Amino acid sequence: MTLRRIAVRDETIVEWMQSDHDGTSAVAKLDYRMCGLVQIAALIAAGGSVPSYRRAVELARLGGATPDEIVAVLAAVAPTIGVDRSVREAPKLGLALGYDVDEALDN
Amino acid sequence: MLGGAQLTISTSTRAPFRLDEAKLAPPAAPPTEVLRAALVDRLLSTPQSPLVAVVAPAGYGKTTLLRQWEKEDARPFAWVTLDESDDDPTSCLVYLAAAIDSVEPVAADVFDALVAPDALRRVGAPRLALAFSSTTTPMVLVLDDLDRVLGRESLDAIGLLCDRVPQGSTLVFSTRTEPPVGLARLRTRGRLLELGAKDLSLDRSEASALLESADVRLETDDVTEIWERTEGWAAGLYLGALALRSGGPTVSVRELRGDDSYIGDFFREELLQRLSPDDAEFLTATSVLDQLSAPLCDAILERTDSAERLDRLTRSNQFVQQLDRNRQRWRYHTLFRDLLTHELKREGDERVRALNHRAALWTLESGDPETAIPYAAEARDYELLDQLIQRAALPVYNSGRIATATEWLRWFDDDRLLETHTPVAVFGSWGNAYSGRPEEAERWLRAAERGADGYTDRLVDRSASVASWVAVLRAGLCPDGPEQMRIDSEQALESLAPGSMWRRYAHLLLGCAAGMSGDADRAEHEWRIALELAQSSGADPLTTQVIGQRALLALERGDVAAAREMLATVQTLPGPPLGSYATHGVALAALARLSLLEGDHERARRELMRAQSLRPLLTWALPWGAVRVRLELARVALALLDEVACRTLLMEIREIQVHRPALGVLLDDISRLEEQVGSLATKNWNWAASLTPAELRILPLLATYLTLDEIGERLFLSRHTVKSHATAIYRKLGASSRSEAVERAVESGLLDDFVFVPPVKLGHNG
Repeated sequence: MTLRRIAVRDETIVEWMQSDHDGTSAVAKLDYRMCGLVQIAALIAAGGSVPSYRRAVELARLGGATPDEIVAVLAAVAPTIGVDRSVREAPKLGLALGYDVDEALDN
Repeated sequence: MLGGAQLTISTSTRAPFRLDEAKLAPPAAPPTEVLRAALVDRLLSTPQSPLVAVVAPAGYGKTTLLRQWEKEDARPFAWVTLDESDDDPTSCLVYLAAAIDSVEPVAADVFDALVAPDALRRVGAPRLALAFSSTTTPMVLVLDDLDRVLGRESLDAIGLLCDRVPQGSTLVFSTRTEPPVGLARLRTRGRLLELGAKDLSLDRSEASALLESADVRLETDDVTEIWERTEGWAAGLYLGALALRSGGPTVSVRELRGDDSYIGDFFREELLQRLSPDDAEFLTATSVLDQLSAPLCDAILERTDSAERLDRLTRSNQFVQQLDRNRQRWRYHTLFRDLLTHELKREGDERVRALNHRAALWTLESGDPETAIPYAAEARDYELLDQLIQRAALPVYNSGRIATATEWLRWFDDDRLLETHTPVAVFGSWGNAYSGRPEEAERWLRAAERGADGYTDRLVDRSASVASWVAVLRAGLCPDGPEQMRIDSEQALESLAPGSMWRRYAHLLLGCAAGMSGDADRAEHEWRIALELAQSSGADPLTTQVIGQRALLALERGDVAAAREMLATVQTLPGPPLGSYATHGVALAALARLSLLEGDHERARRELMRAQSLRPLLTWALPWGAVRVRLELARVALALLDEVACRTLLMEIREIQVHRPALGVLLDDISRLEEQVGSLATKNWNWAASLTPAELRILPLLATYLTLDEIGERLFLSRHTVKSHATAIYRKLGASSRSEAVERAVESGLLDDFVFVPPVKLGHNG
């Protein structure tokens, strides 16, 4: 039923989704780890800012995701959204993990 | 002690180590010196500038000017002559505090806060700045030779003082180059009076007076020529005067402009070669000494006439400066010493090492191993250094001068050296472990293990074998779990000498091993012994740690009254405030838990936040402490329904488990906690408690004047990384600016409220 309500853009559901700032409400039925990883995937696809990546990474890590698992999302989504987009978003995800890829490449 | 002259302990301060009074006063004035009346008048007529920077190369008379200013100004002068030892921020700040204290008393808790090196940025430096800004006696605080300080943390702490100069007081820097303490922003605000080389150059009449004071009588035209050639540079004029006095220069004085490429030649050809061979040898050889005394000079030169020679040289040469009224200690003017050192090096490295070696042996025999250490390092005598560090490392650590001890250990930072000097490797590993550098702690442990069998030199604690020291260390780093930790601790206790300082650590660790194995009775027994040994030796960081462990144990068996009594003791112990050392973590965790049991949720939340700042130091290098503290704090967070804090702590525990999977009964505790977190029904988002260790390291620096680039330099991070962390901090604290983030951090207890000292509003100069 939740899927149908989302599909028809039920106002109650929309209001609920918009107020669910961290995406972990009961509607989503996902744990922190999964929420965080899914949000990271969405950011890679849409092109996110570092603060947004940071927020999603924190969620994932609170749920027990390791840095390796988080980075693996880049590879996981590449076949769907294109390798080029993953490549472009990798430095931002790195910064969100506390790692400056650009600086490391300079060394 | 240097030549019988005591390093005096100032009884008006609570300095954690012996202070050298010579650093807290200018060198004695020579019998004759040129009066800088015009410059002194200028300084006296601009009291509204809270900051004065006297910036000029060596030999322009900076210290002379300040000394003359002191005589004329009605305000008391608080003086610190800085040197390389002040690269250690604890040393630097303690001397600053002692100087201020010489004018107006500085509270004991300020000195206590300076002893905690890991908390200097968060607590010690801001408290000192607040103490300075709160003084009511107008004073002039002089920092002489500031260019000799290169340590960033020391310079940052000095920079904090710049915005906190109280009304009516003046802060003065005397330095060869512009100090990196944020002068540019102070200049734009019109708060800074600057005197440079041009201001300090002697005018013609002053040049004439200097030549007369050196017993050089010249025709008027000659005075004019030498003055023009040297462009009023006092040291150059004086060197020229000495040359003229000893027979006239063969090289034209035109080269005397402070240009190093010429001054060295002039110095050698016109001065040294004209002195008696004895005097020349004396000056050159004793240039290895930071401070001279007659007995020390006799020792390194193997002669007996140094007292008479130093007396004579002081009278005839202004570059030899007397440091005390008793005429027992001297030093060379830095420019003069630079030139002499340059000459000495021409005699070869072996000579330099031999002189330093004699200086090291003499100062050691005089009962001052700490002063002997730099000489032993220059002598490249690693065996002697090993013995000296064994004696001096723990007292220096306990006085908060971690940077000093770290510098000593850096000389050995080579696997081959570490393997042949096991005691140094042991100290270094502990230092790295307690400073939050687990990989380094592990590397030094491995080197110590490899070298233990081959080490046969005597140990300062008289233990028969260094293997016992390594066993304590291995127990502390606990690489193989609680059972091996127990074995290592017991083996250590079997072979450590009865009076060894490591015995209390072995008992502490035996207790922790028992705790991790579920044997509470054994844990309590060992910790009681550790506490007795710690209290009898005055080792306060260990005392707090042991009491914290025992208090947690008491709470676990339901004895709240006993825990309360123990934790009350901890809060009244002398020394740095609770929360300054990594070893304080368990006591803070116990306090948080006690607060919860007493129903004081607000206090529990405060203690939880106070403990957060220690997380960067509690790494897998000390897993028994790092996991135990996090488990306790996570339980408190859970009780406060702070899911984010709880999950953050659990996440860090999982990261520690990657390196240290064997954690005994703590593993059950971790599993239980994970189940409980999963079932939390209410969300109480306190993102402030989820600041990562990297963010916690940056947070105190956001409270300073440093730019993000400069913060990155301090922490070896790129600007992008710092910005990413800073943005996350703002978000988690609900702030939209740096200053707001600092305010929120103080409100939440992440930063001490002393850090947020508002700059002094100027009433006299906008």
